Amino acid sequence: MGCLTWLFERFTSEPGRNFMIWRDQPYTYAWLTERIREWETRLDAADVLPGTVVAIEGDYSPQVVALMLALIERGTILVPLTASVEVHKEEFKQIAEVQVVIAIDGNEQSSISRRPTEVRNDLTRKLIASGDPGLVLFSSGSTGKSKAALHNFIGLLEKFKTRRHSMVTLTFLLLDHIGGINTLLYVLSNTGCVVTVEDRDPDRVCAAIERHRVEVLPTSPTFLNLLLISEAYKRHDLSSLKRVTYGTEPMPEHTLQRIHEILPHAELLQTYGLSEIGIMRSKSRSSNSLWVKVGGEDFETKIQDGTLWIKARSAMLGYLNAPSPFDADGWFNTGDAVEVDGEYIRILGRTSEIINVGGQKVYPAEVESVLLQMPNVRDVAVTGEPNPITGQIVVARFNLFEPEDLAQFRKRVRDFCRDRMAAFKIPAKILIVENEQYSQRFKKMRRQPAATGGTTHESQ
Amino acid sequence: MNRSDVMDLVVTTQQDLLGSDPAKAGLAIEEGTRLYGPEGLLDSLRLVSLVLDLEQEINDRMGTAITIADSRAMSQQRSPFRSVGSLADYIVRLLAEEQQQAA
Repeated sequence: MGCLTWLFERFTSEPGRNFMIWRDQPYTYAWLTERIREWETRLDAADVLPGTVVAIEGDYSPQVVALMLALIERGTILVPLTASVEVHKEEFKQIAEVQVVIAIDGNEQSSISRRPTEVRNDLTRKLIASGDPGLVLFSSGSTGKSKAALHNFIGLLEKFKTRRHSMVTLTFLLLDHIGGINTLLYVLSNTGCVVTVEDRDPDRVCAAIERHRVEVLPTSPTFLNLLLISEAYKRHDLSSLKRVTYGTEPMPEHTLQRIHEILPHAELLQTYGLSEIGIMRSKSRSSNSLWVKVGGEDFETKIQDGTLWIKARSAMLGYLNAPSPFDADGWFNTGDAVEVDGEYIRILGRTSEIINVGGQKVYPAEVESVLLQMPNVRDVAVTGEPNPITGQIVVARFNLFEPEDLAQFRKRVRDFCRDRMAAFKIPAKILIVENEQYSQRFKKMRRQPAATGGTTHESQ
Repeated sequence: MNRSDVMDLVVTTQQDLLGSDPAKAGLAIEEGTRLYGPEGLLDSLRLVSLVLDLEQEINDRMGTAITIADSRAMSQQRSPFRSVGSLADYIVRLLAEEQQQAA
């Protein structure tokens, strides 16, 4: 048996094709099939039984992909942990009740270790009892504390059984992200090739596109803005690109128009996905349109009070450490404000106070709590503001005890934040204000404008 | 503010931003210095901060309300954010337009 038999059959029918370009080296489907077999033997030897909760520590690499597939086939519960969540690793392992950790380092060397943990969570126990493989993905919760979404992997795999085009796809989305998993499964199920890059630097990404004749680029509006600013498209041949997909944040109209101008041969497509519900198939009205039709056979959508709700067959089973976000009928409130035109929608932005900086979420309360520890800070209010480059930026308005020079204070804030929070959370705009902020803050935070593009001005 | 004032401000603001980065502090910042991309001094988040700091500083000093990063800047055939010099040029242009409108 095995839930991936159909996928492995596709691999064996195309042994000579490359499934991945990693550090500029090609790896074939025959290589992958061989490695999956080796992992099966090793997992047997290490007594990793079906239903075990297994953390994979490692970034996108050929071995990590082979291991993931072997673990899915085995019916284990996967917890991918990449270097980007280094500070949270221990916390995540505890939340997911990880029993076995398999680490793969930068040289593809691996080690297996056990943790004496018994699975107590009811959701996980139910999934284990069913014999199906699982996947745990972490997303930020509304207070800034991470939530663990448990998926039945069978639900995520279903839509990939339908054959689609096989393409060379570049990815910089990681495997602990629903988008990264989705891209990988799409490519493998169509015996395409994944091209990986070390970072998101526009020139390195463009160089990889040119060298490996990449056809699909799944990306974000912020990356596309940086591509325009860096003018990297002028230094590299991007004519192989057939499709550019973008998601994770609202797309500014002018970015879309410019990208359409510089890549006239590429189809520009918006995608929509969340760790809680999976990625929906979507269809943009045209390459220079922000109107999109989302759904597909496995998804239902509805708009309630201007907010998008989704019911999905690939939805998670629930959070491991938070109440179920689904209503009684299984609908999930995405928190995204949308406009509707017939069967098309346009995504405007978050209805909540969450700030989206280049696709990464920032919780005002979390940033405020750090800033309040600074000497001479009496109060601070953190909000989001539209920005043409990163979608939104973090703005901090401070009340001080003693007056300070703004330029000096700005420097002090950034120095203070550097080791205390991720770079994208550090306020880009720092203001010193005189008035009390309680009423202003509540008004601002509860009614965040959902506009895209264009900066607003504060006269202080 | 004439061009050399703007240029000075772009340089000092950038130095302030890089001040706490030991790998980049003290590097010479000149007309042709790239802001972002290969050999660029700034990462994307710092570029955003630089632009916002400059806007704030200039508008405070001049009593203006210019916006450096907006859809117009992003739609330019040649990006104003290529180099220190091209950014200074773009700011001078924005200030001149603002003056014309006020007159």
